[in-house]
Amino acid sequence: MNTILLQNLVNPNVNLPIVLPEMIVALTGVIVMLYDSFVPRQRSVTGAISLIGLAISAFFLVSMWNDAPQTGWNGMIASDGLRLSFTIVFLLVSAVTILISSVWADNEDVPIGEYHALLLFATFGMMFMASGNDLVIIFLGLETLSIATYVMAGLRRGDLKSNESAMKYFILGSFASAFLLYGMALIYGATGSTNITEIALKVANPNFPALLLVGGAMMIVGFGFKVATVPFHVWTPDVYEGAPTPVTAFMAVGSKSAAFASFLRVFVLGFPLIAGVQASEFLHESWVTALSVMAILTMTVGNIAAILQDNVKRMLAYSSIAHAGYAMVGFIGAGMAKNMQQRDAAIAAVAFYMLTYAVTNLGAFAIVTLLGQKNDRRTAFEDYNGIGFRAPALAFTLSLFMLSLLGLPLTAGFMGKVMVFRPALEANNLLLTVMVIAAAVNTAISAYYYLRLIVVMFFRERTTDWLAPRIPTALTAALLITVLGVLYFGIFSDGVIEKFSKSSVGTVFKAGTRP
Amino acid sequence: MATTALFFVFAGLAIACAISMVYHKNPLYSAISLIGVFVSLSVLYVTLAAPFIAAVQILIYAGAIMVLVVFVIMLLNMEEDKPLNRLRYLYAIGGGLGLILLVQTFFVFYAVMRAPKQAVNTEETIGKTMSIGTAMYTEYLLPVEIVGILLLMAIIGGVILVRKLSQPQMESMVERELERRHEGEDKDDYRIAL
Amino acid sequence: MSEFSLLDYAPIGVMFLVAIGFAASQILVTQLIGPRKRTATKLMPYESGKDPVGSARDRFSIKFYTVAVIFLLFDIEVLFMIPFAVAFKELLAQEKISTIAFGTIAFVEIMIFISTLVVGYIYVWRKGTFEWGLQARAEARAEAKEMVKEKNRRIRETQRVA
Repeated sequence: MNTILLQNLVNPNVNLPIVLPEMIVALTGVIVMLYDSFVPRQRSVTGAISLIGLAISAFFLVSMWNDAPQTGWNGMIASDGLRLSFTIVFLLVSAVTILISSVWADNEDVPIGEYHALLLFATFGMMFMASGNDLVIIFLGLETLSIATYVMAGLRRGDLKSNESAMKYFILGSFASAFLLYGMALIYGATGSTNITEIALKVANPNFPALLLVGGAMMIVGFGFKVATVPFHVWTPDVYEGAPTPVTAFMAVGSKSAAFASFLRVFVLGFPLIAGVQASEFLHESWVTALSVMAILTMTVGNIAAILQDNVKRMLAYSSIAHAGYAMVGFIGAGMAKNMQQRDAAIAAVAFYMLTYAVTNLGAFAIVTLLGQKNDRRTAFEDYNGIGFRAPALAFTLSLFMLSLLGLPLTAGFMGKVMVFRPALEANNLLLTVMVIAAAVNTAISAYYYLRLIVVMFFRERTTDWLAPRIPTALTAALLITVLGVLYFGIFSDGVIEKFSKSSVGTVFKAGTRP
Repeated sequence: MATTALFFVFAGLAIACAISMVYHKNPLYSAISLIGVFVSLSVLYVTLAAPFIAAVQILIYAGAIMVLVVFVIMLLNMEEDKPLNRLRYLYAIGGGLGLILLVQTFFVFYAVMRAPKQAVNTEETIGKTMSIGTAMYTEYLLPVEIVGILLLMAIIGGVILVRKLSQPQMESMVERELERRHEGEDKDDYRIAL
Repeated sequence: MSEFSLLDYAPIGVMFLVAIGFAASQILVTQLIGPRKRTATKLMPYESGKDPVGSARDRFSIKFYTVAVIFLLFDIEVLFMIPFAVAFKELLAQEKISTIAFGTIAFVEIMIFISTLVVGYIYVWRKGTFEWGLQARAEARAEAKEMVKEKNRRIRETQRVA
């Protein structure tokens, strides 16, 4: 009995340093939870602890930056360019969200310690979504993130809109997770492995090619929901509008980039094009075509619907749908890359795009939080009438963020767009070129509603009394970080891109051009 | 032989219970039918040599989750349901999508059946608790820890969403109660102004 | 390695059959041979000797639900320990004959897992989820205060009118 099992046992391959950033975030979450249980009436200590934890985690992450790409835990965790660049985005998002939410938490009666703990655990989930090189890890990370955001969306329990938001997000989100899990099961059935590197090797000769296709389609549904692409975007406006604004910021930026990280890893690194192998070519062509059509739809629907909105939060929700479409352009560019360098550059471009979108959008949501007052009552466009000259600092910063979302040169948004469109153009493919043209047209359309907010702020008369709100210190810090980010990433983007362009763990790449 | 017989009996029972679950108007009857589905499925798992999954099915689904379902039914306490005429038009769409899902499922079966036979190890013991245990605590160490954190977070979520009072109210109340317990008297003013 | 045999699980099947058979036979036999005298009192729902008051379909406190949710979560945590309990001896035995510390790693792993569980328990406990007495009394007190305030307000109003 004893000796027979030995050949089946797998070496646990414990590799703690590789998951150190994740572990620090989880540990900080536990500390915050315990602190909150024993010192219940604090309002800011847990926030400080969380920020320190995130900073330590970021420190260890950065110290891993120059290591060669490696895997650990039997290939379940990959530490490569994709992981490092996305994880740093998550840590930044989480830290800025904590700074923004301090305002909201002071004005309202929310369980602040628990909120911080949930935020940290959500970040923990996101980090595993970027570093997971195994479908099991990716799914667990996604669930950790999702459950935390379901709860955070419903934190304002007295508010019906918040309840509605949490409820809708929960029901549709679990449905999407079920699709994703079904897809993963089918992929496992087709390839006999959940490890993405092994899946990539097996794609050329799968046990059941049909399962691979159906599984891929199911996973597109699941991930498509999380990144809010058309036609899986319907939940976005209601959920974003109802959730407390800092949570909306976190969802719009954090959840989206985490889902993009896993999406990239599973599709670009897991389902590569292996020239001359029919099964692989067919699978690759299917997903690239499907995602290209989705990307065009996403940009168009997002932008056109955003024009029709009267509420700033809803407008930003549709704008976040449109931005998912832009990021997908880079994603598909990575999928169509002709060699490893191009592919890694395209992945870095998507990560950089999410970074620029993160700083811009977090800044915009910070100001929306401040102006929204208690329970986010003041989020309609009318509430922004004529505040431009009464609170010039706020209005000018908000205008800067709007211009960056639009993609004006010298802002981060512009560089992000350039970076994600480039790989798609380099692919020299008709569909991808059409997609980039659609993206350019859509950018022009989006000018209408981004500029509208600026016009409203500066050139509309205000009929009611309005006092400029005092800007608390934490929010000032958040705005400072985001404004500097928007300008820095807009002007000195090359250095960041270079840092992000590290090779990925996926080894298979025998691609040529498709015949 | 015995496996085949068991399969047909319990697969039939599962389908019958599922139909009964959808058919009943009273949610409690539906819940009880759902238990029937879970138990039949768990027998099917045993016949597929996965006793651990079968035990989980009974423990978690037929046990704990059903408790929650019944609790929700009692919490909501729905009065007699009026049939909703709203959104009737969605039935057609729902039916169509269901049909697509069914076709897709059959397509999967068809594709698997048509593919060349893979060598199957009939003495595979991967579903036994021992194999699951050794796999979980050697190869899948990290996922188990992530699940631990996931459950910890779910506890927070469950507690804050269900808590009746808001945080500060709750804290001050419990604190005052504890003070009272120590001092043994009630300092609050209940006098009616006369 | 022991193979899987369905016969090993036959006792559970027999137990199920006995349980169902016993329940069914009890109902059947009482129906068949029990004397039947229908009176109003006998047909009433039994509530420990008291007359039933109101509808059974009444709302009840959310606290019960909290306990159910927490029970579910801890139930799942226990589920993760069952495979450990089954496999631990095997892993220890393997540790002795191989160079890899299977048993130690598994033990440390389960200890970390249990300690996250304990953190969850401390949290639930400190948050007063189990403090029904305190909470209920505090709620009742708050309600009484409100009532007194309301009454005082009304009395003052009548005094002002007078």
